[in-house]
Amino acid sequence: MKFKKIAAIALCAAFFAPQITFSGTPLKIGTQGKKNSTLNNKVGENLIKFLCAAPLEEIKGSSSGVTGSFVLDLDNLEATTGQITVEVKTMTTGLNRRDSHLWGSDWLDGDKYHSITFDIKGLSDIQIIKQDNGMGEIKANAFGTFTMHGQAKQIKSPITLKFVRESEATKKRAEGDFALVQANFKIALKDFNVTGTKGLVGSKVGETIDIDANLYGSTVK
Amino acid sequence: MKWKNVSITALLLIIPFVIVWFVQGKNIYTKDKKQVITKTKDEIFGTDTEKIEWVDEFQLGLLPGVDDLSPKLLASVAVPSGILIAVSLFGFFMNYKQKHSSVK
Repeated sequence: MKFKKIAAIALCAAFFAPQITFSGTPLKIGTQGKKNSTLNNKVGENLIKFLCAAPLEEIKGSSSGVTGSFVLDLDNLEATTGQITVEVKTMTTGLNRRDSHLWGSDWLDGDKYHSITFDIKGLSDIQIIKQDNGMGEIKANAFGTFTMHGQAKQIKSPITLKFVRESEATKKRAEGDFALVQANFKIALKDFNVTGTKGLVGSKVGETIDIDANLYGSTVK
Repeated sequence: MKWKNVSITALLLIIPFVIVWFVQGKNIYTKDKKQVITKTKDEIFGTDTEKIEWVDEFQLGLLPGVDDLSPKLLASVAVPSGILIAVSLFGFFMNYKQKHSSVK
């Protein structure tokens, strides 16, 4: 009798455990499966903004040289992956001389390390904000490998992700379902071995950089 | 009297630099591009969309936007003001010297 009970519990555990372990958070918007979104400026302006607060002046810059794609798994949002790339030499701050310093060997070394990448490995702490037949919105943390100046570091960034199914309104801009990812995170220059011209980090240039990203993608390239 | 006029004129010439600096946004460093942000309402995503363009526009700063010895150093408030203050001090000194030599 005791053995039968144990066997029954073990059987139940064996049956349910994988489902509990592997079932991810779904986004119920009337479509399922993996959606591969490629960044597309027709959907919206793909833009990275960066802000560096320094004692003398806030350095505001931006880059529109953003490319990449991400795979959104609507049945298992945790399994969302992607890669976003920013070309170093598209980063500008409004001062040509400063831009050439930024791209130079003392700073980001754009000749040697052409791009900055964020390899998204997955999402965590997912919170569904909205889900209906045409659109879904979630808040989550995107984690992955951020590579800059040849140095890779694991980071986590809070994101807001919106997914809009193709409609007559979306077709006016581009084909396919649309996705928007908004992210905001900070990086420390020293974590990526960006030392800068001697003495400038901490005085003329802040030690951390605030990054704001607006990424628009479409499931049809 | 001539040197005194030179000094006063040199000091007065600083004023236009300060006015231009103030009007152009009180930048710390001289800039050659201006960030133009266009915000529009995105009806599909229900968010505000930003578009950033950098247009060529000179903006005078307190400090020069270059750090090497070039004529571009003059495109700031600090460098020409420093020169003008030096000229002014020199003028006051010459004026003082002139006055004292004429007294003798």
